[in-house]
Amino acid sequence: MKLRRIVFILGFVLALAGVTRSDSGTMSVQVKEGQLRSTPSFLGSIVGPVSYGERVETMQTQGDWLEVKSPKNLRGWIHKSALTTKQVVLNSGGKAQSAASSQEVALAGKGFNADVEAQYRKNNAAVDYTWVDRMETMRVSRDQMISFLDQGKLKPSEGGKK
Amino acid sequence: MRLSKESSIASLVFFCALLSVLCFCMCERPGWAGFSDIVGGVTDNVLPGQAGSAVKAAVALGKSFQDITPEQEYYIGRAVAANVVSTYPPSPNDRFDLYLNTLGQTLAEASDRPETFGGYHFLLLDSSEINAFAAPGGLILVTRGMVRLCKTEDDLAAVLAHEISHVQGQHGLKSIKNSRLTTAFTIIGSEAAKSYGPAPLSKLTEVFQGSITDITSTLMKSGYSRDLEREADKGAVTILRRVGYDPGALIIMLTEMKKQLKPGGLDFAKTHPDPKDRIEDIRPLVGSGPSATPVSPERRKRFDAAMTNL
Repeated sequence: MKLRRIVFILGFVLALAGVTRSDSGTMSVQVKEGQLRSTPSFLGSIVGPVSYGERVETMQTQGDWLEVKSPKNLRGWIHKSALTTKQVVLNSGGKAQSAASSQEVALAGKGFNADVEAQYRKNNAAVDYTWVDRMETMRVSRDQMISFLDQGKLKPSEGGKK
Repeated sequence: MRLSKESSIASLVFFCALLSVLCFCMCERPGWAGFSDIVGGVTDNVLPGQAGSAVKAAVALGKSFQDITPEQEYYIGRAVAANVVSTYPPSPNDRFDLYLNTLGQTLAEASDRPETFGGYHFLLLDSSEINAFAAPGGLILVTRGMVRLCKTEDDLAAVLAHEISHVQGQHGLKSIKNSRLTTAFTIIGSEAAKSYGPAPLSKLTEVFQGSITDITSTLMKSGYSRDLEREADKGAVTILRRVGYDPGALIIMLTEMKKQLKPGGLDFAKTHPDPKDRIEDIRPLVGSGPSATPVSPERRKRFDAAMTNL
């Protein structure tokens, strides 16, 4: 009887592990502005924002999507390309982090940054950024995408539309 | 008897558990993501097959283009795009740019790399040349000549999907000379302050300038290798299929380009392999049958409306 109970519990745990594939750990947001979604899809409704450098707790994985919990306790799905396993160190002024490998940390604002861009623009007055800045304001919302797909009778495959 | 009953229940439970694990592993591909094995997706800035060597090689703050953070890629992309628009001025057309960005950003979401530091943005250039450029990080520029070559929304989607795949594969960054990156990573590794002093800032800007030249001359003069173009074409087929466009539109566009381009010409002909070779490369992926999805009247109508006065 005891053996049977143990076998059942063990089986249940194994089955559960297979379904959810819990994937706990910590990752960092590596994009300027990220969005958490209610489902593992870009057409999933937006739960809330996450910002560059924020550490999120990973709960589970489905394909290229991770369900995470933000420092503000928001829970939602985000595409893996928005995250890095490295720790993004913001405002890394002060001590040099030369001991840390690039596999562990990414120093925000280091290397090619706004200062380098400013210097580059000063050296190259003929290179005009007006349109580049304007391009960055051209943003399409989730709702616009959904109606664009609907209107065009486009049916994304692999359950993209949720 | 009792023992054998228990052991048979036990085997059943284990079998079920094993099945669920297997089933999960095989079925997990939600959303638009997937097929990254085919196109070679980007995982934490490390490309498949190169992860091992990257781990071994990384001792300072980076070594190759894969160690360029998305934030730095963003600044590189801005400068590259600024250089392209300084050579090919934009064609101010709010209505078309809105259409272009709605189509382009929807396609980008279906790529293996939907998230870049600053996102994907698209712009029409005022040039009759047949050309398109993808700056690192997702700033994509298309000439009026190229857009006019498209007869349907699916054709334009094929052009944009190809450019998105160049961004996804970080092909622009690959053209930066390694010696420049070594210099940059040395400065990044040794300089403490977030804002650099005059000497390191000047050195970094010099490396930045050189990197931008490497990329823009690849985009506008020499072109990518046939391998990278093939990778971008394959990626485009995947994106088109995921969104619901006809992947055959890529073949239609390449055929059209073959007709229009003059060998030795200055535009696409100069920077891209012969369209005939590219068609041969992707034909097996697309299939030779008729279009999978007929273009709906609604899609045709909005495409024609966007093309008015272009």
